[in-house]
Amino acid sequence: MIASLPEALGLIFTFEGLLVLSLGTMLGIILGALPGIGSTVAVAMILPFTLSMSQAPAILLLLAIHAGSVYGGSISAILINTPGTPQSAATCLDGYPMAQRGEAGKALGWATVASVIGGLASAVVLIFAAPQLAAFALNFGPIETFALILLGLTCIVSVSEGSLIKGLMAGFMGLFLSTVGGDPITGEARFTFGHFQLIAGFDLLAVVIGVFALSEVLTRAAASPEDIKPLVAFNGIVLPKLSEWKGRVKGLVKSVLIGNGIGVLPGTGAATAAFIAYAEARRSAPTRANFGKGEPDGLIASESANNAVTGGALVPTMALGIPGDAITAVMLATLTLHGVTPGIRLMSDNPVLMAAIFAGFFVINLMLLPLGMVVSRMAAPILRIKEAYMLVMISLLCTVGVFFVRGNPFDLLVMAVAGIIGFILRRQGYPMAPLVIGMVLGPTLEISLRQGLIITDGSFSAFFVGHPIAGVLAVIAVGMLALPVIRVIKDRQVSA
Amino acid sequence: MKSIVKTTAAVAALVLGAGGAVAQDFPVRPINMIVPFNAGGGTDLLLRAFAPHFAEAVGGDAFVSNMAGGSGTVAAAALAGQKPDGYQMGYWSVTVATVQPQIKDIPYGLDSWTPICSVAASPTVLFTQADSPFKTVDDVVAAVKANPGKYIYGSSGPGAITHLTTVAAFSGLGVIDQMKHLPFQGSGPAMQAMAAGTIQFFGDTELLMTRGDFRPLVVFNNERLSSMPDVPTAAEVGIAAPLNELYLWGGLFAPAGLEPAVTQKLSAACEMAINSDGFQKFAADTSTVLNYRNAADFDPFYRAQYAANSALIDAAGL
Amino acid sequence: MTSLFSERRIVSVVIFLLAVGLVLSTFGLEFADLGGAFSPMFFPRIILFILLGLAVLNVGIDMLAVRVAQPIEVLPVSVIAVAFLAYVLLLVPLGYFLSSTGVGAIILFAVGLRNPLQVVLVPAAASGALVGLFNHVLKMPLPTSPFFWWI
Repeated sequence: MIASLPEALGLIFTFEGLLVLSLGTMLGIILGALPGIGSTVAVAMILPFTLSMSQAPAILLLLAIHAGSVYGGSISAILINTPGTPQSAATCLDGYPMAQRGEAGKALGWATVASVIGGLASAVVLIFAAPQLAAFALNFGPIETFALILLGLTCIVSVSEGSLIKGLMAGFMGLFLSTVGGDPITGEARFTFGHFQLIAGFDLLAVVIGVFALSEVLTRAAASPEDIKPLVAFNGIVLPKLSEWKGRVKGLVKSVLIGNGIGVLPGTGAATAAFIAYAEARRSAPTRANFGKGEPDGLIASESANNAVTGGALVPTMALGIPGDAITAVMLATLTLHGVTPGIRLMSDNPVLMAAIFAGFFVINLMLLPLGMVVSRMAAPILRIKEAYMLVMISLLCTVGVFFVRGNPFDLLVMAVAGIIGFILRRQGYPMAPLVIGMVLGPTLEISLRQGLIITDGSFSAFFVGHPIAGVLAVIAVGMLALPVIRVIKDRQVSA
Repeated sequence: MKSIVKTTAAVAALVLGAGGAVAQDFPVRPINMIVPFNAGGGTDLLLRAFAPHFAEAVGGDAFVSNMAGGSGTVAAAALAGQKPDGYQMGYWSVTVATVQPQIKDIPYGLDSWTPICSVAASPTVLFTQADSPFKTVDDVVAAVKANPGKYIYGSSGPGAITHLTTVAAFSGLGVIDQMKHLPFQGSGPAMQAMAAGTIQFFGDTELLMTRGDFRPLVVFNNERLSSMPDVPTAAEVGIAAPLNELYLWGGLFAPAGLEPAVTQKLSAACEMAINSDGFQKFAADTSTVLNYRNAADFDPFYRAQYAANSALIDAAGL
Repeated sequence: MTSLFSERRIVSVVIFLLAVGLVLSTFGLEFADLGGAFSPMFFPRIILFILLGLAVLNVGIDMLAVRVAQPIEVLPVSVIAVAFLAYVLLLVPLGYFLSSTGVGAIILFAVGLRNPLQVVLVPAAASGALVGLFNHVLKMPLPTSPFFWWI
């Protein structure tokens, strides 16, 4: 791997290589920043162009678009409270309140630096430890995965703004929504009530765009003309000063590790990582009281973790030939098109190509900083257009984004209904982030639980015998659940 | 008088422009080729490589669109309800066309289609981890009988080709009741579980098998494969018809009732596109096994497969 | 006085009733009786029972607490919500351009714009640009109208 780096750098530092990387990253940021357009659609848009390119540039372009769009999603999440993708949903929680306070530039600054650090760290891990990490990931069978997802679910508690009961309800509604459609074990249709269209289930992105972006449109329309808050004032990114990092580095490191670790495991993904990192920061950060009200530590956690996942997901992809998520699956398929066989011999057969991909990934993350500043400067005048036009633009873009995720017009109806219901629920104090967590984790939670039960012949108690990793994760999960209760009791004792 | 001519011409133009499918003028607008999965998957790339050659052969324009969900059934159900004008075709695999309609309550079935042409077909292979103690099918049968309920076969999902392959093997060998089935969400997680030892057996095409360190046990083809001459066919190890042959095939389908002249035109264009240098190179690069059948041959093949796979579906308990 | 039928209470009761309905729907369905983890209803039933329990607690909390409802401009919200539902249903039959221009105009009108030029031209330009980009430059078509295949 490291031996092939010099030759690989020769592939990247050419005119074509750098052009592809910078244009791809730029385009990725722009697409990701458009409300409604997420990584999946961005990659689908660019895919036809990569078919006529040669090996290394084609893969690098896909990577650049992907990494750029993951970062770009934070721009719309912070500035207009509409995450383009589930993975930026956690970014809204603290990013938008900061922007409302008039600190939009600063919020984006934190998000940018955190993204860059998360991405760079994961690139380094990728270059030096991909095979070892891939081997470690094999320890995660269904039972370990189940315990991990259980731990992830405890995040719902920490992102429940206002009412814990209402947050938990939203979380379980999300879990329920994820069960609609084909059963993953038997293939039978569930909760379709005779409607064939429901057999494919509710698309996560359609629901996310509905409950966040569309309900935001309705919320703005619902505000009476006198108390319409103007769109946030924004004049470009303000990078955080070095002194402002004091006390935040530990949280950053932790979030990067969480992002990397979760990215390596199959079937989890960036949204899970962002939420788990956010919940962990909220549990342990010294500033935890300010979370949800515009605390930079919350932004740092979610943004560094979701960008670290893009690197982590490349680990099983490149080391085992097993795609870590939908986007890496596209990269593998593109490789086959260029005569490269994905699989366990991918790295040993194509050391230079792989080194070029990993090094290219590093360069892409370096470019996020300057290109992010350029793109958000371009976005500044757009934010000054009339709010009414903005509402129309958001609505039209969301429709396009949701339509192209699966090409299924039914998803549009799901988005519209989710938007209206989301608007009603948000008004009544039901937080929407837990709903997204439930929908993200639901499918993996269910299949890993049922797979585990099939393996152990239906004995749940056998889950934690001979599965030390699962046991440790489960203990942490219980601790996370108990913690808020303990805190409440402690606070009472103090006040009494 | 003049105005009548004018009106007739206008009406004619309108009919031609809107209704469209007059065979000799076909195609007057772009042809939509539907991939029932997301952009960037194997099927999607195959069709994206195919579309430009097909467009050239048919003398018009063609584009690829994606409609994913429900293991491909959402796209197929949507196309089944469309007007058969030749401007919309779907690329269905064996599971979308012949398996899903028999296991799910979905609004299409055997008679919903005008088959146009088959494009690719690969026999499936049952395999195990390369370092496993099982060298032959007999080893497997003996081990399963000695330890009923211990061994697990995986699949990429219920009703997928990977599921059918393992079912054909173990049902044909008569040991399926003494084994457990563990479905995964896609081939990737299943392959990872195989490497980790969670599952012992998996079945897929030869192409997929070569990606890992796997040992082939039996191939579901009518003869041994030249690439692995030592691996017996299913019939040789005693798996009886119709379970002994299983192919992952795919082809183009239009809604039922397409005008025969248009079907002919599309089928001929399909042959030209498959034989084009560009598409042949794609097939060589990706190790895709091409298998062209024209519309006249594809129709009976498709119907025979539909009937044969119902035996497999019964065996799988779906 | 208004408190008994506040918006919040109605919402919590509706959610409770929905949860009851869904729990009931998991029984008496014709699924292959494989039992335990093989049953398709195994997991959803766990989730729905917990949801039902939470919904009961939630109804209790909302009945006890008194909260002042946020102000709301009912008319524009209802108009936009209905227009959006109609929009997603008409998107395929009418095509992206026509339906988007329509819904865009309704949104602009609902939030108070009255200049007909702005109300129609802005959404038309926006959706026209998107159709041009996706259908003709990228060849990734959005739904088209029955009248002209290119728009």
